[in-house]
Amino acid sequence: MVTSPHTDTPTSATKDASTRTLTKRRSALWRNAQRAPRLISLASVALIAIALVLTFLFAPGAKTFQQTFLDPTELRETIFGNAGKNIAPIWGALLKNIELFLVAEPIILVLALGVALVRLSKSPLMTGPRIIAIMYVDVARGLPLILVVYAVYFGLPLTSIPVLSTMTYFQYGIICLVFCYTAYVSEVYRAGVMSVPNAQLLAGRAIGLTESQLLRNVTVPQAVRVVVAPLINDFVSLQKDTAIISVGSGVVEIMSQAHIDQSIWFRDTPFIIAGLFFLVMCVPLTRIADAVLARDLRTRLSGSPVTPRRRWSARASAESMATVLQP
Amino acid sequence: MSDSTTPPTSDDLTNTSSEVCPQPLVVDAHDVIKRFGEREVLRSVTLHVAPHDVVSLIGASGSGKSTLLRCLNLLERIDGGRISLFGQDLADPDVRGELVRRHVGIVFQAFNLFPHKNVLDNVTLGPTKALQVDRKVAEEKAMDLLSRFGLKDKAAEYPDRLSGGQQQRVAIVRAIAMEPELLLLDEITSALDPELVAEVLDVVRELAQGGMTMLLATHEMNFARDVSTKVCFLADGEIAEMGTPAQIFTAPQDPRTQQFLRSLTAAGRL
Ligand SMILES: Nc1ncnc2c1ncn2[C@@H]1O[C@H](COP(=O)(O)OP(=O)(O)OP(=O)(O)O)[C@@H](O)[C@H]1O
Ligand SMILES: [Mg+2]
Repeated sequence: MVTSPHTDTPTSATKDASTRTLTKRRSALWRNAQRAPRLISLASVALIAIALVLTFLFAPGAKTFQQTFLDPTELRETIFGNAGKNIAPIWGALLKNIELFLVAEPIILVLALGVALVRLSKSPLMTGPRIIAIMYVDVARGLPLILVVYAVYFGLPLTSIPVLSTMTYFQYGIICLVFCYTAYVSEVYRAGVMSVPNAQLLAGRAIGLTESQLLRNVTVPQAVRVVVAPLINDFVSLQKDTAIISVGSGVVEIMSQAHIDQSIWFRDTPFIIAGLFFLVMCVPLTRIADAVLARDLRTRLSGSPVTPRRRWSARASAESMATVLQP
Repeated sequence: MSDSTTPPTSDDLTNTSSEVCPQPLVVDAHDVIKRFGEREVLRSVTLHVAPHDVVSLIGASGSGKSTLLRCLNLLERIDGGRISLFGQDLADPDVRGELVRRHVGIVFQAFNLFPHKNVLDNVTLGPTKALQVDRKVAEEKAMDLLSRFGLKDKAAEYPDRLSGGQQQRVAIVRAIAMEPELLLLDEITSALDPELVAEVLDVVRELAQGGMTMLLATHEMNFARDVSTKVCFLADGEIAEMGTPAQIFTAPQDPRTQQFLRSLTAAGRL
């Protein structure tokens, strides 16, 4: 290192340069530190994948497994049907599930809001409805859906209650889903509202808001953030539970179609297909729920939307932290 | 709350020793009792605040300062006694909490800004919703206030991006944007780092100079001495002593006040 004769402080240039090399070394270390975990995760994924494939191909019984669950002809005929063998394509039945879901979900969302509001109300006038609502939620959450399905399908037609005894099985199915899921969704709403801190309500009242203005401008906007992810979870669950509706009814949804197909070959490939269809419907939803939840965790405390600048600065601060920690 | 300005009765005025004024008292609290369950948190509190008064409430933690402030704007209901604001009895069945609170601002120790709204929306929510002021007008006024307190460039920020001192100044602006006739300040600097206290107290000082009637609970004794027209020492839910800052801080009469001030001096806070 040559010190320039023009600088008054000859050491400053030396110091500058050494700081620069140090900084360079630190950022190299930082890059390595970032790369290492990526390599490790890649290796771990590859290992698991290889193990799975080997098991599937060579484990004892692998052959029988493939015949039972993954026969190619059956796969094809299950999906597209075969008029000659009188096999209906399974995706037709899938539409029934989607229909059940699309009809039930809006009803659930609205009724659950009603139940939640009743449970949240503090008015003495609402004590009666509140007790009913609490009892309903306890019962509906405590009973397995399949039991409700049996009770409704076999029980209601036996009664001579005007409308209830003469509905279609599709409508009975909707009743069952709505009965069970309204309870869950109302609890999600309620938890959302209760998650808003009392200090926020005080602050809203302090500027003269009425209770309904408080609900609209303070409580609901903050509750919504908390509610979205668990609501999507319940959607996913509802979508799957539409499969239970076929039990003992004439509603041919995907499960019952799979059952019919299975009784032709006495092998289980149709169930695999049905399962795949459910996955195709549900997995995107669960991914969305996860993404929403992650966003929620980042913004719950701050309450502000995550902007690119924010993400960048979080990363920058992690980087500078790492630099500081280097020896 | 109506804008009725019925003059206070002569009884009320004779009770106030120091200030006899022609206008109705802003706060006229008489024998106020507040219980939480079995505990009597306020025991017979009598307090008067005249227009343009700045009254400090001092006292140990748990002595009931916050509770008293909350009773004054009906965030809490009292269990005994009587409170009149601007000559209007709060026990009157026509008096609705939200109407009272449109005239009585309060700022909390923990700021309590709305995290889902930016600074400007925090400030304009009250005027636009509770007072039905036109949004444009409310925003102009809010911007005026924000610039007055050095917060102009923060208008679009969300509260979590502000320092504690800035958040608390926004909270004060949010309260005064309602143009309250009385401002309650509940230990507004207690949650702040020491270096941020001054900027918030400066705001309060400016409001006091502007003639705002204020009632403030505080642990900042030097500030209380500086800014108040009257100081009340609260002990166990009672007003143990009340007087001018000079009386309370230099010649306290009640042994509890003396003890409290001694302990503060020992802690180097006075
Ligand atoms: N909502 C409540 N329920 C039950 N007790 C309460 C409630 N709020 C306050 N208290 C009690 O009332 C007493 C007075 O409380 P308060 O908050 O008014 O005291 P403070 O003088 O403001 O104290 P600090 O200086 O710590 O803020 C305390 O003992 C407290 O425990
Ligand atoms: Mg307090």
